[in-house]
Amino acid sequence: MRGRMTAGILLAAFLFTSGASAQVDAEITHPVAVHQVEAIYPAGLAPQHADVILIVKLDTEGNVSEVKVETSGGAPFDAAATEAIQKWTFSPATKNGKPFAARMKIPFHFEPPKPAPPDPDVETPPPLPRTPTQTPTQTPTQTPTQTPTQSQASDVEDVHVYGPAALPYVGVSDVHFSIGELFRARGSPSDNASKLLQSATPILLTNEGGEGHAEQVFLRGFDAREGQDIEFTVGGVPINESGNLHGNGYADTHFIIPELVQSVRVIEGPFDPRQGNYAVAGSADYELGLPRRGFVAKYTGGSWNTQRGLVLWGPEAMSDRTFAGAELYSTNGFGQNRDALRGSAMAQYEGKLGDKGLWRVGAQGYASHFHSPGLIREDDYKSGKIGFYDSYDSSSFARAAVPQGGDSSRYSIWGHIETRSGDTTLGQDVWLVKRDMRLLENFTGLLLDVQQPLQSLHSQRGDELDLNSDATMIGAKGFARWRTKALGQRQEIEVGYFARGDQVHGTQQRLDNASGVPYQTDTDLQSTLGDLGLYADANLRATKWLNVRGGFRSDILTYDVLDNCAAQSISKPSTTNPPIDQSCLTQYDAGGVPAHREPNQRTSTATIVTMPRASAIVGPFAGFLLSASVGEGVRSVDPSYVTQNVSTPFASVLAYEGGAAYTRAFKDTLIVARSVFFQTHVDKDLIFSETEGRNVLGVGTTRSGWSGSARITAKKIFKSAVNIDESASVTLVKSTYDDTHLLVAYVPDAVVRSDTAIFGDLPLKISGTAIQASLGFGLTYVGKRALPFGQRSDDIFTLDATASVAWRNVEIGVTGTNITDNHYRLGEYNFASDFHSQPQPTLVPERMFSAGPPLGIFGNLTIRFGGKS
Amino acid sequence: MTRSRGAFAFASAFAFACVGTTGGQLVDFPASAAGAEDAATPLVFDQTTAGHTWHVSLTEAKLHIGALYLDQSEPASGAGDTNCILPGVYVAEVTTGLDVDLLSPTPQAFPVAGHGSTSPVLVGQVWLTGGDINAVTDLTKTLIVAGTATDDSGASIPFEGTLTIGANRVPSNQTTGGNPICKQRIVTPIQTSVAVQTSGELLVRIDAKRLFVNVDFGQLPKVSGTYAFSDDPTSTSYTQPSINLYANLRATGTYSFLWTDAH
Repeated sequence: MRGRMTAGILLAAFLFTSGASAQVDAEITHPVAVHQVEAIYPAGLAPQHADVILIVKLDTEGNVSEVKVETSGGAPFDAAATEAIQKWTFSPATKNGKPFAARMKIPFHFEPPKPAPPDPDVETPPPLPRTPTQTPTQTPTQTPTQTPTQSQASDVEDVHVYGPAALPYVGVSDVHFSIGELFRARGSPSDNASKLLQSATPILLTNEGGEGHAEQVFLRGFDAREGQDIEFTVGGVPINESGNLHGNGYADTHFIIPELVQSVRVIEGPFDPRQGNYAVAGSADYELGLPRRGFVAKYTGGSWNTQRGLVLWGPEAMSDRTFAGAELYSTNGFGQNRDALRGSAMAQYEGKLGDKGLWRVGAQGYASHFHSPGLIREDDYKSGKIGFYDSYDSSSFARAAVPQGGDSSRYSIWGHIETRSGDTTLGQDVWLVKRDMRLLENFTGLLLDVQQPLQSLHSQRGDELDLNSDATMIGAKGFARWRTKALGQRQEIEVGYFARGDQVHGTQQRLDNASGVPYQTDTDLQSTLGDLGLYADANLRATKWLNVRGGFRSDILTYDVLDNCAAQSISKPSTTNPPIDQSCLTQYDAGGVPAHREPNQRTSTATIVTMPRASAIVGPFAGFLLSASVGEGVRSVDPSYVTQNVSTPFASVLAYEGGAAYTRAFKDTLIVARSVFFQTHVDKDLIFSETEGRNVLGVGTTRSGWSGSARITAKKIFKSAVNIDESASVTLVKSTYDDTHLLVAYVPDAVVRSDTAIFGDLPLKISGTAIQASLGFGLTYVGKRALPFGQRSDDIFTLDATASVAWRNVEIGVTGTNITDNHYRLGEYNFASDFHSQPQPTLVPERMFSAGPPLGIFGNLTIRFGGKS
Repeated sequence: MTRSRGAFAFASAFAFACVGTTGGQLVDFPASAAGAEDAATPLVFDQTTAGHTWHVSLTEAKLHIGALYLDQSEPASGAGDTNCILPGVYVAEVTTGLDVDLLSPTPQAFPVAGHGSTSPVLVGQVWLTGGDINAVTDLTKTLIVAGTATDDSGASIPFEGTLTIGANRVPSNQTTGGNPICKQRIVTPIQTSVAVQTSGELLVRIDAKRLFVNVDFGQLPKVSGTYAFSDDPTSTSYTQPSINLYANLRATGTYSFLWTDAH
């Protein structure tokens, strides 16, 4: 399997040459590598070369006891090299026949893929063990005089394996996170691709909209709402929905089957010239793959009548990126009005393109129908008028004929082609996405439908929003990366383009609570949106330890918006012909005289925005990497904000950061850590509006904070069969308005996440086969969030756990979510609402909340046929 | 030492992140209603109308308040009618009803505390309703008064009155919603400069004397041996005293909002 893995690596191992005088009196036998494992080219990175030199300490038995990075090639490559070297074993070094601890210098050279995927019938051979004569000199640590003086390359052995182009490392905020056991440690059947991000980076996810509603994502102090401030992609295909009325850039990741996500790459901040629209807080790319090959059938069932069936298939002799998978999911939910149905299927095939390239095609389909409870007023909960997990839609005083919830579907196809020509790598992606969404939400109850003078007499009919978005997106992107050598170092320049067109029809109506009939049209927009961009990125090395990279991204954003409900009020209506109960008016005030007009109106505009971005990455110290980055980004505005020829239909972002990353391995233990200080300014931030049911444009804001994370992977603890994978992250941030310097509401200023997986073989065999077991824990802490009117929310603490055992082809497991059964408020708000729970209208802001799930217990059974990881 | 420095740095960063405010504050506060400070039983005062002075001895005056609201802005007086409810302008509210004895200067507490923010207040609203502010039918006795009015000639008029705001008050031009029944029930804008605070209570005083401004007791019709204010605008007995009593009930000058120390 490793032989087919992701990258071409060029291995050369050599030892330090001892001083000549030290060699005279002693007969030295050099350690010989008796078992080697190739370093795996980090998945998801664009083609590039990288050099990592490790200092490896061997004990007297030839085991790797300590690893240090002497020369960094970037955190992903450092980690890959360090992980590989821990699997090597050596014959011990001897002096006069007596073993002694030795230190070696081992360079790894990572090379981007050359040919297409390997012939499945030919297994790539592992590197040959070094013979003593092939082994360079050593530095026995026990002999002070035998200090390293020079290095000498041994024979070079090429091992070609193939994979997609890798993206250049941007800086310490560039986190490439392989999922593996950590996701198994999460294990909840309701988990989705958004929650994978929690393991990769410190974020908060909330969701008051139900299981088919996009997760609300808080990253680096941004209330990204449903993902608007994060550029989401899956295999490079955009997920953010331009023109979605609920949120321009709405990103629903529920269509992604989480078991088919091989890794996640998160870049916090807009520092990579490849990042485009919506990369305000950063970007997240899901890399699809199925490392564990064969056929998998999995059933999960448990609390709230939750059931999930999953099948996965990865042909053994093919690339990890060739797979198929499908799931069906249903649940009654943990309280009133929380039921959901979901189905999703994804398939992809990767093939070779001559001997220097590859191609990939894929397709996916997803559909869901779900309900959501909405929010609960704190005073109603405290007075016993409604339960913690209840919904007003099911109450006696605000029952809704059409409860909140929605429908969601996404169907897409994509293709990717990549090849090398000389020293240039070329890549091209195309995609077509059809996306439909309906959301029914009511944040304010029966508050906003006040009696208007020109309406027929009515009572409050309700504020339920029926929002629909039907969108078709077609797009392409490509790049050419040229590599050369100058100043004795490898230099790279990449240019690329991005083209995306969206046709979106968005409507929003208000439904009568009692009948479910729409009584008013708020919005009816037909939009044609374009985003065409180009970028250039230079990756220059002055020395081996100084890497300066950067460039620019420039986009033209175009809008052509037909507003079918352009006129909604008349300042001086006719008294003889008042527009009673009409949503989209056909009268307008022509200087005090009512005149006819068509209800629709078209607006169009376009603008070009250029965003410079740069990073300096310094790695003069073994294992340490320092970086500083600055960049600009944009978020396009909702089509409803577009007016004719407006010059800036976007919000601008300016971000800075500086940080350090550290990678070190001790025998079977790998430690990767990072620390980043950041500041981000947005000139037009998104602020939640309960009356609109979404975020709306507000004033400028600034976020300042610190983010840190660490991952420790330890294998064979105390020489046992126990392995541990621990990932922890913390973000502390302060978000303030530029004008008043008051806090931005709803943003969590402290988020802590920890995922732990403990796995390995039990000392128990059945029919000669060991039983494998795993334990997992996921801990989330979110500090008290600032709320409007000087309030603070409760903090959140949840603990999830899972346990499983596997024997041969069968695995059974149990998962507990929120195992301490905390009654916690996942989302908290302060605004006015009226659900007729009190004798008279409640018109003053009051605490509202959405309940987090209570204790849930789920069991699962997995059966595998064929394949191996 | 290094460990303590690290802990200190982390704590500092944590503290840095967790300070600040979004401004303002939400508070729950007690609320009361009372008669004027000089209220007494009976309440004796002189009422002069068109040069004729009545010596009034009020023995009963009860008012049903459905709700109180405090607003941060006044309804805009544009060309069109304003709505009864203007979402977004409300600062504080008391949403449960109370029958207030207007002859007592002692604050009478609303059964449930009020709720609001510490934002500045410009105007107050008194909702004279027994149920849904928009429901046409409401049989709640909004105002009950009784007493005796005498003049210098020795004429004595024992009077009583009960006012409701229901179907009897539906305006004739309500068909397009321009003047719905809720307009009859909401007394606004009552000018005030109340500042809701984290301590103290909201007090609304209703001056019973002002209910009788320009009321000519001499024009009260005698029904079944007593003089009574009419509650039926379509009735022939709905004359100057009844019109003015109802108008005074809805006059903003009858009410005043205060923020007092909790008693």
